Amino acid sequence: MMWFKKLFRGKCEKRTEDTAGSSKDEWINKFDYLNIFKEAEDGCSIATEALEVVQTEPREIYALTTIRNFRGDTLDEFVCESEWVLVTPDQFSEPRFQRHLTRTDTLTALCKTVADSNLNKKRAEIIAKSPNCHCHETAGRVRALRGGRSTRGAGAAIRAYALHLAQDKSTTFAQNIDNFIACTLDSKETCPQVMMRNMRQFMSGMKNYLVKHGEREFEKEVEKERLKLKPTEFLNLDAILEGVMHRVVVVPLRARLYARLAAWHARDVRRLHAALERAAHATPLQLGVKETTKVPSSAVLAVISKHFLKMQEADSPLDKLENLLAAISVMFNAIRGERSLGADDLLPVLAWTVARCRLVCAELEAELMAGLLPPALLAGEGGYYLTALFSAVAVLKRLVPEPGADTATPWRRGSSDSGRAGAGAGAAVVRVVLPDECRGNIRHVPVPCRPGARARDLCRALAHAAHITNPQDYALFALHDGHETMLNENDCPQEVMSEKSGQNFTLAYRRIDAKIAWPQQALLSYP
Amino acid sequence: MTTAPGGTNNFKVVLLGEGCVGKTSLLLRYIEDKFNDKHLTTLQATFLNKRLNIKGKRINLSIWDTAGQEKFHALGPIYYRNSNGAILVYDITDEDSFGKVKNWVKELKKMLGSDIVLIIAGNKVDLEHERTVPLEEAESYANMVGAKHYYTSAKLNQGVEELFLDLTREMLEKYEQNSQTEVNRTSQVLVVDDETPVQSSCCSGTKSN
Repeated sequence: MMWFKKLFRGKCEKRTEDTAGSSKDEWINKFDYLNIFKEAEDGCSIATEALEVVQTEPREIYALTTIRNFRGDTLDEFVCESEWVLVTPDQFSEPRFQRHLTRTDTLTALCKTVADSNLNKKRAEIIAKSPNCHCHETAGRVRALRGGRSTRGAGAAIRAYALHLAQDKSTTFAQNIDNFIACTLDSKETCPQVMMRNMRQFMSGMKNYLVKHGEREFEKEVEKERLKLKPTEFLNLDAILEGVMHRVVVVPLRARLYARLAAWHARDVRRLHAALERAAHATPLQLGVKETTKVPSSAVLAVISKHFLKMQEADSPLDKLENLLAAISVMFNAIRGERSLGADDLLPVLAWTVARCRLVCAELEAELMAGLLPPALLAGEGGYYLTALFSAVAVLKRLVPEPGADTATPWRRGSSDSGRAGAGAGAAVVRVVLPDECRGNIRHVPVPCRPGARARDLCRALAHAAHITNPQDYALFALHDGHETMLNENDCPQEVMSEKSGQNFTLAYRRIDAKIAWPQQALLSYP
Repeated sequence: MTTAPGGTNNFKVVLLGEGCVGKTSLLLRYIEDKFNDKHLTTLQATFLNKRLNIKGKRINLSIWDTAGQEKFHALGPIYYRNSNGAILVYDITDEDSFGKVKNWVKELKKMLGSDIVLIIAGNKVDLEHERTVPLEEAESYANMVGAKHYYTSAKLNQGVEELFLDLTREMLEKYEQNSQTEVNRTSQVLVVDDETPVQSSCCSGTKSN
């Protein structure tokens, strides 16, 4: 089943294929995620969807269709003969829309629904609806939970009221939340699982409290909205309040939770980082990918990477999960051939993808989602792909032998043993000086570093090692003869070091704005 | 084993077995027959939901496929955790794959005890003439460990529907047997809940004051 895709520009009614060719590059530059489709046109056969991009108005709008063997001679043919949907670039890049692209059947269904409901096709500007797939009920649950959080509709007023309650410090609701946050921040508990379990329990408890007990006008507010409902609608209070709880509980505790996770999993993160370094050179075959299975191209990886990045940036665990599902969808979409893909294919390819995207924080993010999402969600599709992410991490970590008990906390250990490995361009480990601004002391940290690793790779590993939650404010510096030189993220620290060999030369990872007078000894401690 | 508000029972089923024994095909065959109007190639055959109606009860099966290659064996626990049923698939023409099933049975019994319903499926009966796993051996082994044994052919669509139907029936029975003890356990948890300090004071879901 091969679908054709074309890129168009210009007025919807008039343009033909001729103009498409000339403007294609422009389009691709404008939206680099379209690279995924560029490759398809090059015959790399990832075109399992039809994608037509049409510029109908001065604003950019995408039109997607599922028409097969579309010749693209006239756009009228496209508009009148196929079922299609228009989406804006923002809508197009949304995870839930990306998920459409993984299954042509839902895309077809979507186009059909849209076409049926819009007689005036040429004017249709439709918000992408969620995939409506019979076999993914729990995905529906993800969406249901999400749907309640939209800023429109009946849920919005209730959401706003609950947020208002959380703001009003005289309510039991707000006081409980403030207490909980204060207690959690005060707590000496170091285990992130315990922290997340408490958070989950608290959020569920507060939801119950509002629904069963209510506060102030909450019940009236619900009643008011209830009366506005159409006979076919209902209020998913659970979903609405879940979003509220993420906002008022997860967001304030986010930094603490990440610090706890990073500290608790420091060894795992380090091991995964080392494994990713190793896996970067592994062939798909070595990771267990069957010879007959394709792996995503670099263009597809770029798209997946974006979803992974969004996953890391998102505050709410639900947003994280959505972005994970979107990333996996894009991946599936790219590797799907004639054959159906089972778990035998998914897992190795996911491991390979995680390695290529250098998702060092994969385990932390997975832990966070598993710890904070409502349990009902984890029984379904979301849980399955979250488990797949955990598995991929486990597969990758096995590339690096488990560190023995004696190396349990090498980050904090003295700098006596592995220091020698620091010199030379091919070193597997470089040592970096890490000033702790809170304690006023200096740590020496060995960082696994493959030959040719960039400063940005090292920074990423160091941010995890040092539990730094604002890595954008930090950079790697070369210290030599009393000077500090900031390394650009694309510099290769090992090359810089080999150039300077013979001099007193040290790498330091510090806040860019920090002003530090280095001790002579720190600089002399190793050449 | 959660019960959705609409009264639907959710059961989690995990598919285990060596690579190439046909787990994925089995799953696809089962789902395909219900949705044969759809293009199967578009389905992601790693996780699928299937709705059933048994004895007037609505049931949703969440079926989890697992990677069968030996190197992924250690991942088993995170997949079969909280499973209500497991389908252990082997290839009747491949003795090693049957050995692998035995390993899974041992592991599942050890980790989950009798909480999980086990089904052993000898797949690829369309290749009967190449059979290397003796019929009697497989069946007596299944008997011994308290698992039901099925012969299936994903290719010819034999035994697949029956397998899933029986599995679901058994899981439902087990669930109904356990539900009484579940209720007791739940009420105990609530008592404990009330005693925990500060942050959990508002967390006992059914607090009535």
